[in-house]
Amino acid sequence: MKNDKYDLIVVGTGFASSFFLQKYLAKSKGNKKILVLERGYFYSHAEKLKVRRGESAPDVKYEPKWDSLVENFNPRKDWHFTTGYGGSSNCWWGCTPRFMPSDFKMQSLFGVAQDWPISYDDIEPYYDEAEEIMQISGPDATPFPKKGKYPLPAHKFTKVDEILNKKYGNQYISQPTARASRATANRNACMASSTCGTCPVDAKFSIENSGMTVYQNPQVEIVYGAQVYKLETLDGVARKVCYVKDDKDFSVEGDVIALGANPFFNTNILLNSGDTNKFTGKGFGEQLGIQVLIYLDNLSNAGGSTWVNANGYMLYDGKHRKDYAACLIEVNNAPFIRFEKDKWLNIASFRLVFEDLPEDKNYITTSANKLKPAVHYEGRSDYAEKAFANAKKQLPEILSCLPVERLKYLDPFPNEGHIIGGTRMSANAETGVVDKHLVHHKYRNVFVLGAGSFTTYSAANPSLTLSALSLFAADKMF
Amino acid sequence: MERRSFLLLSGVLVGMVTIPPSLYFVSPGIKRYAARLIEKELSYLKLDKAGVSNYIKDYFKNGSNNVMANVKWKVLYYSRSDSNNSNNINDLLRYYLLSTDFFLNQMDVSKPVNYIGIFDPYKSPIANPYSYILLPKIGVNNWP
Ligand SMILES: Cc1cc2nc3c(=O)[nH]c(=O)nc-3n(C[C@H](O)[C@H](O)[C@H](O)COP(=O)(O)OP(=O)(O)OC[C@H]3O[C@@H](n4cnc5c(N)ncnc54)[C@H](O)[C@@H]3O)c2cc1C
Ligand code: SF4
Repeated sequence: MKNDKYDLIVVGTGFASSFFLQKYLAKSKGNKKILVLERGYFYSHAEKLKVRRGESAPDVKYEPKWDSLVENFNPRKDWHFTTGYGGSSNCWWGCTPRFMPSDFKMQSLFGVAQDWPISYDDIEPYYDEAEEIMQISGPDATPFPKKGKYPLPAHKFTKVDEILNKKYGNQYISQPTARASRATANRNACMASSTCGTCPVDAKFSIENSGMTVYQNPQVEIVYGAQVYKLETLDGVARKVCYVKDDKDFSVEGDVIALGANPFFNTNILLNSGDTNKFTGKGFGEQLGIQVLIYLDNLSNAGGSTWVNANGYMLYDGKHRKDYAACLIEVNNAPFIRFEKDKWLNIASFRLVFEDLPEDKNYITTSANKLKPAVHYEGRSDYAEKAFANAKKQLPEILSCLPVERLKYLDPFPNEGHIIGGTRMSANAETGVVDKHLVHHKYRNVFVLGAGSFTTYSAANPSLTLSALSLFAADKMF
Repeated sequence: MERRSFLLLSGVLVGMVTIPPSLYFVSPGIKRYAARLIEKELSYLKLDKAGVSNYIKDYFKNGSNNVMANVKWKVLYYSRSDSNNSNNINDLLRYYLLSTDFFLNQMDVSKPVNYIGIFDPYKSPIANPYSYILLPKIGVNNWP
């Protein structure tokens, strides 16, 4: 390390950290000392492709499986994420709808959980900015307020999409996505291969192909293989960041610290630091995802141009959220196929994604190993389960404009890939862990970034929103 | 295991562990019944027999699908299971059609269906048949 003390220490290099740094660097005067501590290494997309093709690539050792990094107490529940440079931007699938304005007001509109201390309007400009950085493809009409156009044109509709869009207007749209609808400076156009975890043509946004040069900035020093586990605090101020590298303990001083590790590791770091906020680690979880296959008579679903072609909001907003969850529909182009003659592609696939609520029965604690959080997940709320029961009732009517033969529901997925909560945002320390600028209520020089800060879950995918929140926090605080 | 390979194709599973092929022995019997299941359900197509058997060989060689060798294909065949009630059969058939020139030939049933290599977006350029690249929506819909 070049220095003993830094103006800013950032933990992690995923969306949360990178978007925070992007704004911080834009606002600083070019004379800051910034340290980035990253537990993993740089494992390039090109090397990942080699592994997917079955070739040998020594860097594969840099991709530890998620379950070797946490103590998971529920074997029926998976929690996928990747570590290393770019975090889970490497394995994500690039769906980027915004939240709805109502998602921020669950208590005042529906009497459920808590309101966020910020509103949709507060982060709207940062949504625009995050969408510009990620070069999102999307439609002109959206169910959420949006002033300008998306940077890239919308993906192509299938005939099924066209029919549903005609009936539901802006409640059924081409999905806003970080899978490029046409080539950009750093990415190729999407070809709908539907293996976006590692995109064969590099069409999906990742930190590696983002063109954000934050880690190349001369003010920034990055240390790989540094696993942060604790902050040393004094009188409510974090003084030092403690980490393990090559099996040795280190600590380094910083004025401001930004944790962008992910909800599990951010919580582990805070709890190891002596954080006594009663919400730290509580109420984490993820949305509930269920796939339904729609068998169509005489109507092919071909012709879309990406993996998730469209989003349906027909079951999302409304008074029902007093009683049961919002549902976002992801209309999927993965190659489900029928084998009856002339019906091969007469099938559409909806993934129903239900929001969930932060419940105390699901929580993260430390474990005997200071580097490993313990993950205790009992299950989803009745609020989400009830919404699924309702969706089953309503879908036939919703789809009545299509020649539906039958619907087939698949089992719920063991993971949705969206780890949310654990360091929830709130107006004060009595109701949550961080304030509206993602600053810890007690440790006033510590930002706790990422989806852990979401007060409530929303049914929408989290990464665009958490990236916008990082931009917002850095913009307001520096 | 049904679920795992199913999720793999639907693109949801990440971090798959590849099982070395040598750990599994796929008997000729297993392969025969797997081939019969394909031929039975797709009997209306002109399948090239050698292609089906090459496909089966490759399918069971593939690390993740190798686990499928444990599935009782003979039982499935005689229990009248089909792609509608067995995810294993569904996967087997789905990978098969995706691995042939059937969609490249615009689903023309009068043409023989040839195996052209196991469907793998990382190794071959065979596109997802739902993609506009392969099948533009014009001309494939006859509804309403
Ligand atoms: C299969 C899959 C598909 C997904 N698809 C979508 C999608 O379509 N849309 C969407 O919005 N979201 C999606 N997600 C979720 C998305 O990946 C996450 O929301 C997002 O990556 C979170 O960003 P983050 O920066 O907070 O954390 P991460 O991206 O997880 O980054 C955390 C960073 O911190 C580092 N780190 C962790 N612990 C430590 C430590 N102790 N010390 C130092 N460094 C540490 C990691 O190495 C990493 O660099 C998907 C996730 C998965 C797994
Ligand atoms: S759908 Fe295909 S081309 Fe598009 S991002 Fe996903 S993997 Fe890449």
